[in-house]
Amino acid sequence: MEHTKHLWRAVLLLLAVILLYVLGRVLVVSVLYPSYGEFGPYRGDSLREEMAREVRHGTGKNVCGTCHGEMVEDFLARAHMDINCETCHAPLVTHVRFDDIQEFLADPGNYERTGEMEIQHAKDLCIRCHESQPAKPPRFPQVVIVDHLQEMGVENSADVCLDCHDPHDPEM
Amino acid sequence: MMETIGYVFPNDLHITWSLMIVIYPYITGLVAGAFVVSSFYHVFGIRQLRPVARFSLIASLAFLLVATWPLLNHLGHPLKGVNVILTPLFESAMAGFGFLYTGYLFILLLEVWLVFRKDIIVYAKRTRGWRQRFYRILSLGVYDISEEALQTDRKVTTFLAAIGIPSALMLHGYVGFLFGGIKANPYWSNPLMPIIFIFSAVVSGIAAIIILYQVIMKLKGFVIDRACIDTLCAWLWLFLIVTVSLELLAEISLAYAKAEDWEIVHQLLQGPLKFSYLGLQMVMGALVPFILLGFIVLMKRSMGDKVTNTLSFTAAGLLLIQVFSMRWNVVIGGQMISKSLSGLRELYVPGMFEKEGVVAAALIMVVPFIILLLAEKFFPMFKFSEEQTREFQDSSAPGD
Amino acid sequence: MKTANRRHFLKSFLGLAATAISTAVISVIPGFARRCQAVTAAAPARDLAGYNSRRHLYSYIIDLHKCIGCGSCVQACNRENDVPPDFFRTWVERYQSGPGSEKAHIDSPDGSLYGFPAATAGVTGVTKAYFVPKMCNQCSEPPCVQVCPFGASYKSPDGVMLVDRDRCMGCGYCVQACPYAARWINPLTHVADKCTWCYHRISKGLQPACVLACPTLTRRLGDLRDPYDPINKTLEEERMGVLQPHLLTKPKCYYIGLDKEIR
Repeated sequence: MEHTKHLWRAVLLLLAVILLYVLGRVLVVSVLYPSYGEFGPYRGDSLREEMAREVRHGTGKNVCGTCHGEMVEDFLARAHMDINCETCHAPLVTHVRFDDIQEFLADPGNYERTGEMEIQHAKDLCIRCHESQPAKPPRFPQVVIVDHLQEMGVENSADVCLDCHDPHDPEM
Repeated sequence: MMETIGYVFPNDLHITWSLMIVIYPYITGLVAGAFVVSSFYHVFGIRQLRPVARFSLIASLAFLLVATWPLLNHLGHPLKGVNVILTPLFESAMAGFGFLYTGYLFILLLEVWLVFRKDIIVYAKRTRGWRQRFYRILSLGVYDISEEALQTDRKVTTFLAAIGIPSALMLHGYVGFLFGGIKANPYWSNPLMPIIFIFSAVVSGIAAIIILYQVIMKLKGFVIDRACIDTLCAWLWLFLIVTVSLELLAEISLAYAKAEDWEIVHQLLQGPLKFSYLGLQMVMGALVPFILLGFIVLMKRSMGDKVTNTLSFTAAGLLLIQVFSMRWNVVIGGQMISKSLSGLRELYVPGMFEKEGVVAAALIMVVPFIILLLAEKFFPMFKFSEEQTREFQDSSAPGD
Repeated sequence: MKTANRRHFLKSFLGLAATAISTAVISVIPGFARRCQAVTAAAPARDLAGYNSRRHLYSYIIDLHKCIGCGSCVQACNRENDVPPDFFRTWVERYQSGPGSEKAHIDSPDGSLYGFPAATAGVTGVTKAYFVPKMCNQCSEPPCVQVCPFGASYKSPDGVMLVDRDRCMGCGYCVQACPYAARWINPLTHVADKCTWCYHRISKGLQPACVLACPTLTRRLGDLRDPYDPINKTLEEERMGVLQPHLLTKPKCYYIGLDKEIR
């Protein structure tokens, strides 16, 4: 046990470092991440931040119907009635700006148009769903577009589908 | 467009772990391996390794100081890495890093300090100026180098070297577990992973010490201790045999079971990874050194010093490549297997000057050697008697 | 023991004792405080705008008999969530097999962001083919949360895996751990990213963008803790599968009409 002064000093130094770490850790975590542990081993505020992300799509046809009532009414009886408007058009927020979706939904009529709603005329949009493929469920309405056009005696063009079909009332 | 074989999930086209994650286990492997060499002397009393005992300790420290650099380079937000010691969740293997690293660092620093304490205090008295201040701080204000103090130091050193072994092995082994615990990847998910990594690390450590020892002795004009080389080679041979047996066993088990994992793993090993797995890791990196070391160990008596030195240097060099290719095959090869288990991504080729590219890796790997050069200026790692030096200078016969 | 050594011993012993006691005290106090909070945690007011995450547990059903591979879900998700190009929070795969093929031919061009081309080079005589939408399975035993070193990847009380963007360091361990390749490192933010079932929407009672966009009612999100939600009946009565069930990640995405080829 003699001649061990240097060892005790080294040990003390080590203990000081460990103590500093322990104190530092608690301080830093409670200052930097005050919500840590609120719901589990993570920062509770992160949950709130995720919830606060920007909502861009609306909730479906009913909301669009606030201003486009007639179109939606007609649409609801047609073949495309199960499809949300935004699927073929664009997210609601590009057309009517809102900051809080719940406030907006409470009174959509109070909001103004802030941008043009995207409207696609090109047949790519139609083909995505309706071009015939073995992988598509057999009962789903699909055609081999080239054959269909030939059958109908129609020349192919960029927005040829619209020559005969109205997307809001597509059945012939 | 990315070349793929079979079907690769859309998100799998992007590789996440780069060359940096290949060199990180390589470096910690060298840390653990060099420490084990040092502990062969300090704990197991293998006297033939005395010439390299102090040096391998410092080598371990030199690599340890650089070990975090590839990780920090790779991280998207390196400063947030501090969270590993703020709120670690120990169900994750990676969470162990903070404590395993600092734990081993403390043990190593303490052991280095005790081993070199006599020299520190001698220099503290002999030098002047800022050098003296430096040694004085390191002495912690105690200048006792009596025989009793040194005896106590030796006893504590033995203890530290003993607990240092599992500590160093954990620091490297946890990486093996990090891979081994990923059930999503058939090439990684393997209980043998930590063991393979550890044994492979010792191989790389001994190989590195053989090479560095020979280079430094040559540069300094000292004699290369034959007994030391022979002993290092014997242990290297043993660890090589165990390592490669384990590596092969891992794949043979998969091949025998013929389950889902082997279906995609064998496509990987026989396809894009053929050169680095078969060529580098197995044949050039394992079989050839196995033969060379076999000669050295089994024909010890009939081999001259120069032949032994050359063969061991070559074998050690090949083994360093073997261990690197093993890390490469695990990290990069593993990521080439898509989670769809139906396809392979194209081979990843690291860019030269990318953030995580070849030059960055080379620079990181060079730093430990610079540290060793600097260390030599402050801590004498090779102390040889006047007699030995004269012996070398006098000998004129080549190939003795 | 000599006096000098006794002093050293005492000093060190006191140092050790001080460290141990302060460590214990400091570690226990926050935990204790949190437990007091938890006891009074029936109070929902801790969430945003009155949403109590503990009152919900979400689940997702995908009916593979209905998917037409149009990719509207992928498009809607990209628009709702700022998904960078060449990365996918959700995607659709196509499986095609014929009588002679041992395995299905699988593809997912651009994750089906633009749908699927009608013909695939080198694939003929197709007798069985279908589409499979994929996304984060929001597992009950998530390997991604298990491997995150400090809780930047976590499970919310309502069963959704989320990433704390302020704390994630982008190590990519969670990306490696996910058996479904649902996660990736965002090239712009350099943190982990993945499908969140549009948490910012469902926590407000809305549907995820993908569910809203699907023209054929393939996708459905439900709340297991809502006794009136029809999803409970479906889960109790219909036959369905999950991806890679042997890994026991217990996904909460259930597939009706799952095939052996699908991983």
